[in-house]
Parts: sequence; C-alpha cells; structure tokens
Amino acid sequence: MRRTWLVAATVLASLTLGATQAAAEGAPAAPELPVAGTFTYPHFGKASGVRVVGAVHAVRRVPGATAVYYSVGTASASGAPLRTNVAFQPGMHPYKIGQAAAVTVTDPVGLTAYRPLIVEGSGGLVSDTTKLTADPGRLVVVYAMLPELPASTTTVDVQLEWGVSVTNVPVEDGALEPAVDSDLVALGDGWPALPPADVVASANPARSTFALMSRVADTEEATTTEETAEEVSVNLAADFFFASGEWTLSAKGKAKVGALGKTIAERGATTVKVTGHTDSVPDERIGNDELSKRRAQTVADLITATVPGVTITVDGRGQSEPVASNGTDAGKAKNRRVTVDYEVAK
Amino acid sequence: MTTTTTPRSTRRARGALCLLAAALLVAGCTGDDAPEPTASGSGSTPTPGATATELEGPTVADVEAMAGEQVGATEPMKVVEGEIPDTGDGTFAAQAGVVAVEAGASSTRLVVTLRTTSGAEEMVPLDALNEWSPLTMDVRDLSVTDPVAQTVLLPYLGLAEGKTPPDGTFCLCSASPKTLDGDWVTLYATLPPLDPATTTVSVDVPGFPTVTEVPVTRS
Repeated sequence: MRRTWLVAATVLASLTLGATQAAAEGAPAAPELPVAGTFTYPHFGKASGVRVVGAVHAVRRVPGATAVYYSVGTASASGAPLRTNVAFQPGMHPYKIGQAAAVTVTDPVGLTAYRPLIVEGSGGLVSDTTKLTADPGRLVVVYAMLPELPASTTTVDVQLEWGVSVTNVPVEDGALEPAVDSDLVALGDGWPALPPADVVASANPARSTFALMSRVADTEEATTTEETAEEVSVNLAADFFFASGEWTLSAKGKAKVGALGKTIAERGATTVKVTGHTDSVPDERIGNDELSKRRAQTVADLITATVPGVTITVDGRGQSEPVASNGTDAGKAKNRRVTVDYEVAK
Repeated sequence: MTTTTTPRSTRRARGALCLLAAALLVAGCTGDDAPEPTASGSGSTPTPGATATELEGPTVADVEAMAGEQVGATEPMKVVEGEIPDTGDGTFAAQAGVVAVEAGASSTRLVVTLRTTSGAEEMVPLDALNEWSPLTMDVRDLSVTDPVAQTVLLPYLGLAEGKTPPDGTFCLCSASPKTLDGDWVTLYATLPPLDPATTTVSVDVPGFPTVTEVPVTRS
C-alpha cells in the first residue's frame, strides 16, 4: 500500500507539477514511473475509430542521442486490443513500416525540431511495433532515438502519432532503468533497452534536424511574421498598407513599416530583401510587375530611412508567385503582399 | 500474448490518485467510473527479465483518467456552434470546444475538440481547418489571440532544409480528422508563447465563432 501511494504521488506530481521525483520522505526506494503528460486520439483520425490513449514518460540525454519514452494503449472500455495499425501511423520513408517513428521533439527556444535518427537501410532508431499486441486496458512503452539536444535545452515539446502533443517536458540525463531487452515493454515491466552506441553513432543527426518556424500575426491582420533561428520573413498584407492600385503607404501602414524598421535595427540585420507581389487581376495603369516593384520600393525606402546602414534589395514579382488560389477574393487578398526578409544576427 | 504477473492494486491506486488530486486541487478524478483492468491482461511482446524488476504504476485506466483530467475529462470548458464544409458544396453543423490553453515559458499548448451537432458521422475535407495548404493534412489554421501582446499565434511549423513553406513543412498540430461524429475528437496544437501577463485568450477554429475569454493555465 505504501508503495502504491509512492507511485501514485510520483505520477501525479510528475503530471501536475512537471517533476519526476517521488516526494514521500522516508518511504522505501522504488523505481520511478514518470509521466510528463498524457494524450488521446482516435485510430486513423476517424471519430468512430478506437480511442488510443497514452503518456509521454521521459526525454533523456543518452550518449550521442536523445531518448523519448512513451506509451500507448487502448482503453479497457473500448474492448479493442492494441495493434500496431491501431496505435501508429504508417511509416513514411525513410522510416519503415511498423516503426514508431512519428515522434518530433521541438526546442521552441532554439527554434529547432528533431525527428528519429535514421540508419541507412534500417530506417529509424525507434521501436519496431510490427509484433505489437496488448489487451485492452494495458499500455505498452516504446522508444525513439533523436539527435542530441543542445546542452542549454532544459525542456522540450513532444509531438507523437497524428499530431498529439505534450509540452514542457523536462530533459533529464541517462536512460531509464531497469532496461528490458525488447522494443516493446508493458508499462510497469521496465523500459525498452536503447540501441548500442555504435549504432547510434552510425546515424547522421543533420538528416533528422529541422528548422522550426514560429508564426505570429498582429490582430489587425496587417502583418504575419515567420521566424526561424536564422531568418525572419514579415508578410505585409497589401490591402492594409496600400490603396487599390497605389504604391503610397497609408498612414497606418507607415507606422507599421517604421516599427518594422526599428525591429530590424534592434536585431542587427545588415541586409534586407523586400519583394512585392500582386494577385492575378491585371493593373491597367502600370501593370502588375511594376505595381509590385513600386510597392516594395516604397517599403524599402522607409526601412532605409529608419535603418540607414542596412543594405536593401528590392524586387517585384507581380502575380508570378501566388501563395493562394486567385479563384476567390480571400485568395487574391492573400496574394497581394509585400514580404520583408532579413537574417537574424547570431 | 504473455502474462503480466505484476499485482496491481488498481482500486487503491485510483483512490490514492483521487485523494492526491484533491490535495493538489486537481478536480474531477473519475477513476471510480473506470472499469477494473484484469490482472491477467497481456503486455506486449515478451519482455525477458521483467518479472524481477517490475514497477508498479498506473494502468491504462489511470492514465486515461489522468488524460481526462488534463484535458478537462475531454469535456470542453467553452463550446460554440458552427459549420464545417462537407465534401460537396454544403456544410454540416458542428460544435467546437476549447479544452485547454496551457502556457509554458517557451510555447503554448492548445487543446480543442470537435463533434457533429447531429451525432451522425461526417467526413471532414482537408481544407476545413487548413485553407491554404490542405495537402499537408493538418489543422494549422487553429489560432490563439493574445490580448496583451495584441498578437495572433499560429502553430509552429517544421521546415526541411531547402524547402519553403508550405511545401516540405510539417505542423506541430494534429492531423486533420478524417471524420467527426457525436463524440468529441481532440485536436492539439503547439504555438509560440503567450505574454507572461496574459490570463485569458481568444481561440479561433475555422468555421466557428471566436471563443472568447478562455482562461489560460500555466505550468
């Protein structure tokens, strides 16, 4: 009973407080069963599909990699047994069928995303779930090996099958113990043993590392800023900044571009690229290419005035690079834009 | 299937969970309603050596209860009525609910749910929740408006090297649901962080009125 309380305390403390240490002072030592967060999803994204539930248990630094431990199962009430095709998405190249490879760990501070390491010819360094089977009401733990996280990363977000997520997962050191020599381990029976170091070392981490892009718009629907660790792209909605067919900035548009210039200066950018775009409706007066270029030049001139030392290139692409269908008014509005791109000083 | 020999005092554990939950002011422990798992339930493929080092821990019922608690027992705190395009030229009536907006220091987790108003199962077209890049088959048009920062936050995108959006991107959000019926389907999205002073937000699900005054929880 005392042990049960300890485990329950561990689970709830982990879930509620984000900790993984049992707090029962003086209690006998017991293996930890961390739970960083839980999730649920229907099989194959169909509402009538079997409901899968699960938990992210831990993200651990191990030699040459990052290990993610999580579990999945079907609810007792579902009456449906757990099978690989119930719980896991079909493997996408270069991962293999049956591999539990739909794992993405993200570091939103460093704006980097990581996916399972790949070994040529073998697919991902993840649990092979092809023999997965479990009765309703049981959880099975699997693992995935991802590239090493920077030493400064203390928490990450974890995304799993069908896009379910658990955020704010602490990054801790060392593989979970006790390790069991199996890719699939019933929850409570230990943790899957991880691949040996030489196998981990044979994977190319760069192949499993991706830029993460944040997307933030303003509430006036005037600007949308997309940012990676290296580059910022600000989309200016032309309807906010310019009258139809015109290239002179509106008053509120000037204020927005002025603020953007200050931001560019604060972030230490030295080169900026400004590009204008139109929808597919021909501009009768000067043509779409020229209209897009003049609008870009107007924006560039104001940025130059705000950030005198910056080098700006200006381009007008007219209607040649739509980002939405020109078949609807909303699509046309989305295509009418000026983009301001600059690199972030490192 | 192998037999798991771990004795599981599930009911006692659930009671302990409820008491602890109460102590921690976490409402809604629903363990009493969950069915008792069988002690002979199978685990997975063989796990050699496991019996000597077994852990005790939550069963799937416990974790399911925890998931329920974390996401409000899957019942949303706010619900709005709207319409989702069907696969033809029409729409079907649906409900959208906001389950949680969880603010972290460096990201925000949004949890919403959808179901049909009629209870009938309906197909959901790929562009219903992703108007501009439906072939990425996700729900990247979900958004949260932060009234303090005056910003609209959209889910993070992952970007393969050499690719430009939307091609080659993957969303930190749920896959587009293929169908909806009368049971809530939970969708997740990870977004940039909220302003530290933000206590309520608005949530937008395409096809539905804005859900306003949604309380933010912080970890």
